[in-house]
Amino acid sequence: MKKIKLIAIVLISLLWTACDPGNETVDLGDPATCEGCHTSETTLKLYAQAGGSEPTGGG
Amino acid sequence: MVPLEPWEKVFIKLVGNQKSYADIDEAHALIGCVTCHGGQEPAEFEEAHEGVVRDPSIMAESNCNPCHKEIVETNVNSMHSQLWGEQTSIAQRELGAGVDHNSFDGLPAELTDGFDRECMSCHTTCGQCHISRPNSAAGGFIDRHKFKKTPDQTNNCLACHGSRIATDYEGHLEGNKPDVHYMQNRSCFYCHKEDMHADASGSATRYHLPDLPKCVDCHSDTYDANLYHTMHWPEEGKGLSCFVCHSQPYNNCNSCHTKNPDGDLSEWWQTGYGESTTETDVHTGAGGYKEYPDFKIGYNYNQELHDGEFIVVRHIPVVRDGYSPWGHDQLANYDVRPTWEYSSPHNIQRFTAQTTIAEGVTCGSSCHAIGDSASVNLEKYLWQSDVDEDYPDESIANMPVVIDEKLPDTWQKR
Repeated sequence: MKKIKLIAIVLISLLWTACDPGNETVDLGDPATCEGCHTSETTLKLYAQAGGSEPTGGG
Repeated sequence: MVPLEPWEKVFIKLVGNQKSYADIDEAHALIGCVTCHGGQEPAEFEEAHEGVVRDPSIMAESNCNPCHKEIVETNVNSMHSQLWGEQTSIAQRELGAGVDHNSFDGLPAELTDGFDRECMSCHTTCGQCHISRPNSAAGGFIDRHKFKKTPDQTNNCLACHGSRIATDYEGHLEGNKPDVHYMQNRSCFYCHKEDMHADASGSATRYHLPDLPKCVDCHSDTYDANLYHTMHWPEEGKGLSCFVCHSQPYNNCNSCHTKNPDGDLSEWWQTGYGESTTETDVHTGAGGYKEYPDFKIGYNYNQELHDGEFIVVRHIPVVRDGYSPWGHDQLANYDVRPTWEYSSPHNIQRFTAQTTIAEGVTCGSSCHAIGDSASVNLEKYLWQSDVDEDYPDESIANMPVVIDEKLPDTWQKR
């Protein structure tokens, strides 16, 4: 019975983790497309640091 | 409102299982970025952004119309798009009281050009209400480029209507409480049910719009709630505007916030909103646009438009030579409109300084200029002598709104 409970807890935890919407950014990793850049926090920050100019968009 | 980092303004954050922008806004994702914004894709940074249009809804006719035809066609003449009221006030102060916004295009070019360049710079596009913070708040997505049917109260409505409405509604002035409706989590749209996209070309000012909110829409059953109401209930030409008893002090503005057309627009916004209200010199307003809290009861100079014989009035940011930075030295008919205008402060309280009385004194002791408290209450009214002393260039303009001859003979006068 204890084993079943343990397995159930592990399974529920895994499911919980898998289904959690969370707040993690997903980088598409294709800087050649509009969406690739504008969905990547890392890329946008790098461009902002390197270029110094404000990114376009966001009117 | 917390400022956004430059990268944040254009960041489309994907969360959870979202794989692309289509998971945020499927309908608009189908259109594709470059269809509206221009530029090129795929491409390197510089090439990709060549010719990019930051706010495609500036050209709503071509970019929004295919799907939102009816709204685009009326919105081009909406109050938000055209500022008909501003056009009316400039036209009247230049041409005379008998004109309205329909005469605006006949004004000298320096006025119409300056208006297009500055006033229209934040009034407004579809995107500045439904996607991003407005230009006046330096832009930035509200919710990852998701098109929001209802604008965000903080990031859209109050981002533009900040100096007066947000300051009042959220209770930012020292000593003020937030508006009672704000405390009950009422959004702008709880009261403002008027169609923001409607063609308003027939309305000379925003107060001429049909379907504006009225206090009695919700509070019609309070006519006989107390003696104050039955004595002062506002009707055409009679009684008091609700704001006379139920508003707190509100922001007033002096001078103007135009700029030299050769200057930097961002600099104008930074310097335009001057020192803090406590440092304001209301006598001069020198150096730009000044804000200061005040409360003044004036005579209702337009009783066909507003109920009540007495109203609260707010000094607005205008001076005779306010458009001189645009190359227009003086407004030719500056005296035809008051510079203390009808006001509807959004800082309503059931009990205010005007309604609170000490025990054992008469019911009008916090407002009427009579008896022991008369000298204190005189401050609550707009007198000709105040205008003559502090704003001598506005003496004639405000004759219709000062209350000197309008109050009972038994009252003290200034």
